[in-house]
Amino acid sequence: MSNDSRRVLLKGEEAIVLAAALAGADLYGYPITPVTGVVEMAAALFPRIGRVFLQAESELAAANMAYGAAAVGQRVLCVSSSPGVSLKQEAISYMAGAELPGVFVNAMRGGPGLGNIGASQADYFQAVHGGGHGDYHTPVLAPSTVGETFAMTLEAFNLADRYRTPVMVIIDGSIAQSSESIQLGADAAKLVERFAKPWAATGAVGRLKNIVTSFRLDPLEALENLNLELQEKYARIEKDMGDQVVGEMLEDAELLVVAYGSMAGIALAAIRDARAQGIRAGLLRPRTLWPFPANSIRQAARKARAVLVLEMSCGQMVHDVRLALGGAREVHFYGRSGGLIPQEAEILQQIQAVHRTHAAGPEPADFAARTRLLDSSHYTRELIKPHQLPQPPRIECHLLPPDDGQTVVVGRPQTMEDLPTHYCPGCGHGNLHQIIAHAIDDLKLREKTIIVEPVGCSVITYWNCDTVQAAHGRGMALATAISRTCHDRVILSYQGDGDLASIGMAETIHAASRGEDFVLVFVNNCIYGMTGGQMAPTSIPGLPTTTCSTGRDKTDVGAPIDMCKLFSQLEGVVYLERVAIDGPAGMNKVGRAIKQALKYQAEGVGGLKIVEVLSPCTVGWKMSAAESHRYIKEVVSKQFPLGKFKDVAPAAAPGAAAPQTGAGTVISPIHATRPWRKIASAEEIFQNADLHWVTPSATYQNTDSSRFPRPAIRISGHGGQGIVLLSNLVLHAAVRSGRRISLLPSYGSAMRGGTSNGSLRISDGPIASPYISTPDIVVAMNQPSYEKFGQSVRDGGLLLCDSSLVIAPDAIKIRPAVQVVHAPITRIAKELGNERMANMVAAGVLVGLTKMLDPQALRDSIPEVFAHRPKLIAPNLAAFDAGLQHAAQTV
Amino acid sequence: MSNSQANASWKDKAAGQVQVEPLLCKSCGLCAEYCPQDLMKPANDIPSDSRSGPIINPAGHVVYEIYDPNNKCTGCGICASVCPEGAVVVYRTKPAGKQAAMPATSSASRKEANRE
Repeated sequence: MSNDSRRVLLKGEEAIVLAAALAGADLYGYPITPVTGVVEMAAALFPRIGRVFLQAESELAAANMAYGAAAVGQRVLCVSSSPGVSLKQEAISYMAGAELPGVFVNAMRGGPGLGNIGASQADYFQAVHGGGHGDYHTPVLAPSTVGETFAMTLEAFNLADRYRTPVMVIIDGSIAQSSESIQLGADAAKLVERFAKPWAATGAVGRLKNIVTSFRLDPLEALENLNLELQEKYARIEKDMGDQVVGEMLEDAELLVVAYGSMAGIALAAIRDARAQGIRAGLLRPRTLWPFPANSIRQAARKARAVLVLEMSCGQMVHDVRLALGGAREVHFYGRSGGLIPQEAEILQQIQAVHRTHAAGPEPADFAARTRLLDSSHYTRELIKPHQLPQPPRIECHLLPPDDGQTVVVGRPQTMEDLPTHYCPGCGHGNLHQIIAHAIDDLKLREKTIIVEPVGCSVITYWNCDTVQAAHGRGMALATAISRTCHDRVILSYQGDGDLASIGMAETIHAASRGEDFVLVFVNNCIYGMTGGQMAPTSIPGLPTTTCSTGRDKTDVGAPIDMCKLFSQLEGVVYLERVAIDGPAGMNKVGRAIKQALKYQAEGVGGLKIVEVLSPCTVGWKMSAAESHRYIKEVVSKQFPLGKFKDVAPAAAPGAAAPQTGAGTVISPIHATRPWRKIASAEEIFQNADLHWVTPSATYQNTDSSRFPRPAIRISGHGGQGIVLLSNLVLHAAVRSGRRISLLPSYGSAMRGGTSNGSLRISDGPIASPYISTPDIVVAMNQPSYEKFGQSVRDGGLLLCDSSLVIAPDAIKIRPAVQVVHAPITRIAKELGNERMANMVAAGVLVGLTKMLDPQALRDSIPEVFAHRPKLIAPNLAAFDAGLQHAAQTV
Repeated sequence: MSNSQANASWKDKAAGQVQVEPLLCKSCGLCAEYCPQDLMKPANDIPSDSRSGPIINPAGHVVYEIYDPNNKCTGCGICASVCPEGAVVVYRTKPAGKQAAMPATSSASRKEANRE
């Protein structure tokens, strides 16, 4: 930025989106409190700067879309909160297994189950020790402020790409929702590193194919190899990242306090109070939770007599601290859970109690012996050396080229490997693979094709083109993201009936409804093949399966689902045909349908192209290959009638059409090379992001900070009074005056029902926590706010009430040491002609009474706050001045 | 061994030649089911002097092969197109003066395709 003194008022949510934009990431989101602002901001910003934003149908789909986009080399961000992150664990585990980079932010909230939306740290186990299934870790970053959230989210993209791993950033609602003023320049973009991704499945142009998968079935040792390689990678990450901690007052600390995230901010404030009472406490704040900074904790504990771990949970990180210290120090724990933020005073009490226990008594006899345990050389991690097992010999076919004078009538397609398949004799998958591969060959699309593989019998890839392995049922989510990332590629999702119509039904219907731009080949064999022949959503009456031995009972489990009937209702589907593998003629039709779908895709016809293939499962149906073909002809195709259901794609003019969007329109001709989307510069991002920039100035000297040097203010009222606007105005003015600020508004369902409040801090130094338990000043704009917060004002503080609405001041007893001012704020606004300007009157009275800010700073901020509604500037200035005048009279 | 040598006894007369990769055949019998001339047989039903490969492949499947003593194969390609394993390749004697309709697709050419 040209003006380096500029500051931006940034919310935690905005910091995350901005970091993703600078990193060049796409965002697949689903709204969840307390981070709904993320999808809202990304929806507005990302299309303007050439990034993909898509609101997915579910948390599951969003995470799997991220998986798909990561598989083709795109940086991705997923932001969610605890229950949503639980759903995302599927994709995170797959990405860990497939070694794909991605950044996942969890704004933790109170749990378990639905819990509430309060700030919490109850997902430490999930992030650090648990997560999804399998033997994996993800680096876990734990910022504690908005500024740190911005920097760490940016760094998370670098880590993810460098180590090809998902990275978690864990915050909570109080960070996501709070605002800070941050110095942000174009140089922020320099924090972003770029990595080549030769492993990405972008289409095998001029190279061997890439397969993105976490699947290792044959030989069995291959999976152990993968795990050992992962472990070696994790050891490397631990070594490279080292301990990332922040220490405060540790030099002489007898009592070591360990806390992370927003808890650390509150802990720091309490430690300062304890120091004032002569308790030598110090804070160690881990910035990374995995790798866990065990060595630093041991180091810091050497001088300490005891350790106190503070968390917003019932005790999770405390286990790791105890492991790190190996019993050498007594580790105490204090936490609040269920979305409650502990108050400074509570923490101080805990510090005092631990101090009494340990400092008062004599030094324990074995203290020195136990201190030896803190020597970090005891704890060096043994590296597991991966052992390379011999790979299975590749069986190559020996089919011969034609002799002179011969032509090949039907040969093996290039788009398939020369490998024997694992399919049962007569399996339709084999036929379909051949047919698809021949169609790709004929259209010369092999290098441009990316195939999404399902979970099911066809999980093992035989394609000789780039493939990505999806989680069960999520093929459509992956293909959605891949087609939005690589819109010049031929994307084909190959899915079975259980995958598509059962576990993945939501993804299927939504991708079809959106008209995603890819080809879907739906293999319908009326049975779960790979798991051994259980009933599928398309199993038909009369066909026995292992879970319905006499065939589907319609009265119990309903009729089989006719996917073509469903698809034909959806506008996003441009081509829909049902064909069958029931003999040479049927297979010809299969080939024609698939070729047509691929042709549309290659020509850039937007929308979903679907071919449903009725396919035999000889073993599952307990029939010979020939019998199964007859069964399809005579029975299955009566249940699922064959034919073309839809073909609304226009004939594409080759290489001509201008890019358009929407189903059935020509989007773009295929390009030989993939044009990576340009990543917007920091300037472009800042211009488009609708940020609140403020330039501090030294001219605002008309203040008196003696009474409230670092005011902590709570402003409260009901919805419609403009409480947020009032908070923002005070913030603007404070930043203009060159001071630091934090704002934590009430959010989510706390806002429903009409109450609204904001916690503001103004300071000249760093602000440890935006959370306020005992404010210096409370502005109560109505009776409920007065009753709720009136008694929280500290001694010597100020309680400013809107006497027009606080009608029963005797409802609560206010402490005598608190100054109470009743000002007719709403009445003044009414007299000025608009009750809704009461917030500006309140600002005037507040500043006039406290002198904590120069009134001119507020006057200059009003035009900025009302930049979008210039007509309101003059009346609001008048309202502010009226408030100021009233304060002058009061004093 | 070339495919013409494999089928030396009737190569010169039949319009089509069929070669089955024994490693890939799973003995599903679809080629036999759909052959219009009824020429595809399990190898153990073919006289030993007309067999070109093993009766049973390493995976334990009885390999199917063409048995065409009367030169009836027209080279229609149905056996290859219905083979789920892609184990069958059908060659047809080229009419004079015409180029090959489809390129050879051996392992070697596939590797070349990868290198492109």
